[in-house]
Amino acid sequence: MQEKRQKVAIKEGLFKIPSSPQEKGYLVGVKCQGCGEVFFPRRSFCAWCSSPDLKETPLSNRGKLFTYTIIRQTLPGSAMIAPYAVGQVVLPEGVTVHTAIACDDLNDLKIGMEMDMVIEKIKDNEAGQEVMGFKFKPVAKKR
Amino acid sequence: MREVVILGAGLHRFGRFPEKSVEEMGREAIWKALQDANVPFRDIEAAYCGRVLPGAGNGGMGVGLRVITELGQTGIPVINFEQACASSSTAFREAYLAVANGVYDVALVAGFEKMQRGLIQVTETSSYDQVMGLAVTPSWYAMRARRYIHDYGATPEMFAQVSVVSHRNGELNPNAQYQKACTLEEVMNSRLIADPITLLQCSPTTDGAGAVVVCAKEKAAQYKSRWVTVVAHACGTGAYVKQMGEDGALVSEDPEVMEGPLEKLAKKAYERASIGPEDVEVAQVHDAFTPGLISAIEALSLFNKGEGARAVWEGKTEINGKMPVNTDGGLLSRGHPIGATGTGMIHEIYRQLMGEAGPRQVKGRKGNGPKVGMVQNSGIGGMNILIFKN
Ligand SMILES: [Zn+2]
Repeated sequence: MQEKRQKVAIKEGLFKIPSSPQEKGYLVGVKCQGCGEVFFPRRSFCAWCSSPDLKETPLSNRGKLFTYTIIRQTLPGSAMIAPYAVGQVVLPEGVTVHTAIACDDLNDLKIGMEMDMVIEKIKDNEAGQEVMGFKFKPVAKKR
Repeated sequence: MREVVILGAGLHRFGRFPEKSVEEMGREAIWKALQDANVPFRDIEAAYCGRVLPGAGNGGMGVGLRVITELGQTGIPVINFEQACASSSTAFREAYLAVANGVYDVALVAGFEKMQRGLIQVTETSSYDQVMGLAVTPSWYAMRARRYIHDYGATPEMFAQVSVVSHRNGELNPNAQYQKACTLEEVMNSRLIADPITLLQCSPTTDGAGAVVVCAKEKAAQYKSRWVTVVAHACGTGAYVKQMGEDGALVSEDPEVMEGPLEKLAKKAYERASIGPEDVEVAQVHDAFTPGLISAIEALSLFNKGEGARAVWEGKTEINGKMPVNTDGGLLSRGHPIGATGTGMIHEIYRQLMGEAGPRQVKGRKGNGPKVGMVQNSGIGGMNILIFKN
C-alpha cells in the first residue's frame, strides 16, 4: 500500500493546503487593520497607509481573469512546461493575483471569465515530499 | 535653481563587442562627449555613472571609477547608479540637480553595460515566481497587450508594427545594434515568445556606452555657442492605487478611470516645463517590448488612451509622421544595454534638437527642426521623464 506522502507549500504562508478532502484550501492574504486594504502575497506594512497592523485573512477562491498570455518557452528551474498560460486574476477583495493557469485547452481562455483557485502538486522535493503550488483554472462550464 | 544645458553627447556604438571591455566602451563614449562639448576633462567636477550588471563582463565593483580615472585622475567624485533599466537617466537627473543647485558648474553623465545573451533573470532561480513560470519579463508586457487588444480593439499586427518602425529607424543609425529594416511578416513570423509578443518585438541584450556633458547655462558660452536646455525632469516609482473604496466597495477596474504612475509623472514634467504634450516634437520612449512603446506614448499623452497602437499602425510615430518616436531605433533596434540606455535616449534627443541627426532628422512642426524633445526611461528601478528645448 502506498504511504500517504507529506505535502508542503512551495512558499511558506502563501496558501493553506487542505488537510482533508472535505476541506478547501485558500490563498492567505493580509488585511490592513488601519484602512481595510487587502494584499496578496503578504507584506509587512500596508502599501497604502503604511500601518504595520496587518492580519491574515483567507481570500476568495473565485475571481475574474483580467488578462493572460501563453508563454512558449520553458524557463530554467521552472516546473511549468511550455506552452503554458499565466494571468492576472482579480478577487472580490480587490487583490490582483499574478498566477499560473491550469487549463486543458488554452484556447478556452477568455478575458473576464470566472476562475477558481486550485492547489496542485508542482513537483517532488529531495526529502520525498510533494511540493504544492496554486494555480487558477476556468470555472467548469455547466452542461 | 539655475538653468542647465547639455553641451555635448557621445556614444560607443551599441551592439556586441566581445573583444572590448566595458571600461574601453565607456571611455570612448565619454571622450566623444567631451570633444563634442568642447570641455576638457579637467573641467569636469563630478561624474554620474549608470551601470547594472557587475557580473556579466562589466568587471567587478566600482566600475565607474575605472572608466573615469583612465581619462584623468583629477580627484572628482564618481558616483554609480543602479536603477535597472533607468540607471543612466537617473544619473543624468542627479547631475542635472547638482548643477541646477549650484553644487557644480560642469558634470559628466555616463552609462555603460556589457550583457550576456538570453532573457534577463530578475529573481533567483529557486524563487517561487521562477518555479511557477511567472518570472518572464516579456509575459508581463504580453498580458498588458492582450488586455489592450480586448479593451480597444487593437490587433497583434499593430504591436508588431512598432518593431517595423523601430527597425526602419535603426537602419538609418550608424550607432544602432541592428541596422536592418524588417517587414511586418518577418516580425509576425518570428518565434512566438508570449502571445502576442514575438521575438522581434523584444529588445535584444546589448553592449554599449553613452555619455553626456551637462553645464550651468551661465557658464556654457565659454565652451560652445549652441546647446540644448533641460527644461524639466520628473522621477518616480509606482504608487499604490487603493482598490477598496471608503464604502468598502471595489474601485472600478475600468482602465479608462485608472491613472497610471507614468501618466501622473508626465503631468508633473509638463507642468514644470510649462508646456503641454502638443508641444513635443520628438520623443524617445522605453520600448523594451513593443507594448511598452504603446503604453508610454499614451501615458505621456502624445496620443489619447486607446489610440496609440492605431497611431503607430497609421505611421504617425515615424520620422516624418505627426509625432516621431524612437527615431534612433529605440531599444528594439538601437539596442538595450541596460545601464547605458538612458544616455542613449538623451544622446538622440540632443542630436535631434541640435539638428545633427542626419538621415534621421525630424523636421519639426514648422519645418526647421524640432524645438522640444522628450525622454522616458523606465524599469523596475523607477521611471524618469526628461524634457529638453533647443
Ligand atoms: Zn492600510
